[in-house]
Amino acid sequence: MTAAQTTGKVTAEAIFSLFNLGCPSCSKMIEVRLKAVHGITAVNVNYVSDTVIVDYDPNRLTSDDIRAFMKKVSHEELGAK
Amino acid sequence: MPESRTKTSKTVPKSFRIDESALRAVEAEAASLSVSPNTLVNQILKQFAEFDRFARKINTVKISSAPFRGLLSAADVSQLIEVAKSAGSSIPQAFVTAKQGKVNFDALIGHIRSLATYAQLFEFSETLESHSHTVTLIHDFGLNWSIFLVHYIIAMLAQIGLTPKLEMSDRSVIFTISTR
Repeated sequence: MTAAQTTGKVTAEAIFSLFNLGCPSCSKMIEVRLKAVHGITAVNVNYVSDTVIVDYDPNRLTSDDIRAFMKKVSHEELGAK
Repeated sequence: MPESRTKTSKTVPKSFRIDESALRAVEAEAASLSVSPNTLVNQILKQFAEFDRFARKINTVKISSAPFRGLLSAADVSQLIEVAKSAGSSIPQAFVTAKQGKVNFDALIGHIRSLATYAQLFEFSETLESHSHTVTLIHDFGLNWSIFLVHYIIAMLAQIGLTPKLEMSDRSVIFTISTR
């Protein structure tokens, strides 16, 4: 049994593909912007596999919220270029 | 939930002599990504350490997403299910045994997580509540890929005596394990 199960604490982790965003150069920007979101506790971009791993509070956010946010950031970044 | 992938692990200094053209390629790629060559080299080595060296042992091949999607859509569903059952009852066990030396729930979920992190086969999210463990896989490979994943996961978890509750659409598979 993990610590989270022992305490009843709810935790969540998600792994997203940056490949699907169609913005190969957005990874650094997405990392910075995700770290500023309330409810996200840790962000780790893997530049080799083009994935981003996010720890978050599922009482505040869903993985769909985070995916939508990443799409918005990538569209903003692409629009700015 | 197993140890978070976002936790920073300890780093140590180490010197190697490496091929000059490989170094130039890493430096150019790092510059284009706005990260340090150190970050990129560390992630390349970590991919080898955590995935590639074990994937090699189960004869993994790399394929572009478009032909992979095409092969799946052309497949006969009943044969696809048989392949999924066979793969799910053997590949995860072989992978986690090679990597961790033992097969348990956390190790098998780690295998699914590594397929998201290093093989881009789906996106992955995992929620741990006090009495349940829910994993959601999101992908863009169509209904046959969801069907494959459902039967792969059922066969994988059957190896340790677990029966998940499953939901499926053409873009997602959700499985829940009760931890009561």
